[in-house]
Amino acid sequence: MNELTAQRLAELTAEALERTAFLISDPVETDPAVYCKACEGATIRYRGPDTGCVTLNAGEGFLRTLASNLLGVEPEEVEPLTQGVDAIRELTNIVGGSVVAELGGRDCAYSLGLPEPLIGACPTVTPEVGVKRTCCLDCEGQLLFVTWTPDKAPASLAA
Amino acid sequence: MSCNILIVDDSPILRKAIRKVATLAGVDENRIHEAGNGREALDVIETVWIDLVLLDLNMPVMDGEQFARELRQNPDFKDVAVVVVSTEANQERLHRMRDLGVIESLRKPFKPEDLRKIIATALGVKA
Repeated sequence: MNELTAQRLAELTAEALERTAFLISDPVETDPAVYCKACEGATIRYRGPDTGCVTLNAGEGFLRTLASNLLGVEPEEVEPLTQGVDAIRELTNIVGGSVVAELGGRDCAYSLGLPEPLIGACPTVTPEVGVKRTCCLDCEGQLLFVTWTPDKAPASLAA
Repeated sequence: MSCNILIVDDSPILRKAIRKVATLAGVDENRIHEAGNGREALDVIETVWIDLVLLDLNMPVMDGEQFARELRQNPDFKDVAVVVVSTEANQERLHRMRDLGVIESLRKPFKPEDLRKIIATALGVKA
């Protein structure tokens, strides 16, 4: 299985944010305490030579920022439960697509499922998992966490 | 530009973003139609003449591949231009889409300029 570092995950996500929503983001260190409070997001599963999922977690502020940029409206005009959730689902879909393209290379044989919203579902950081496969991006003051979870972890990423 | 475009994507927010790019490419806002899945797209295409379909692949109810298959089975619609705009990276599936007459594939995240050029090229106007 190809490996995907947290740094590469951040690069792929930053590209998705910039191209899709014209949002510039900077990678920052993942703080587990803040990560556990990022309770809105979405996840998407992939299958192919191996399986796994990509999960995005953020707070409501990020959902508002993302949706407002996509829609061209003010953040306070965004309806978080509909437009905000749709925006994070689509971003998850796009980042998931970038991850499988990265894992699969030129002859990519991976397929994506449909993104599933995670509303009010706070992520947990267990000592076994840690945050080795999670990157964090600061996007106009709002934090976005992206986690790659292969079902069978490469040896170099095993806890 | 007097051409009709159909945007097929299950994300309303992405449809709006694509609509914006299509408008910038010179397509009349009133000639842009939307559908949330392949089934809805077939319903639209039965009632409105469509010159270009911008098609997502992974959608609930009816995915883009099934839509393209059904579209090509109808002699009235076999020549409708279809461009895939999707996160799809699976080469086998993209090959099947080419076999179904898809003229171009654009992978998300795309640069708006790339989509604008593809729309202009597909509709036969200068990008």
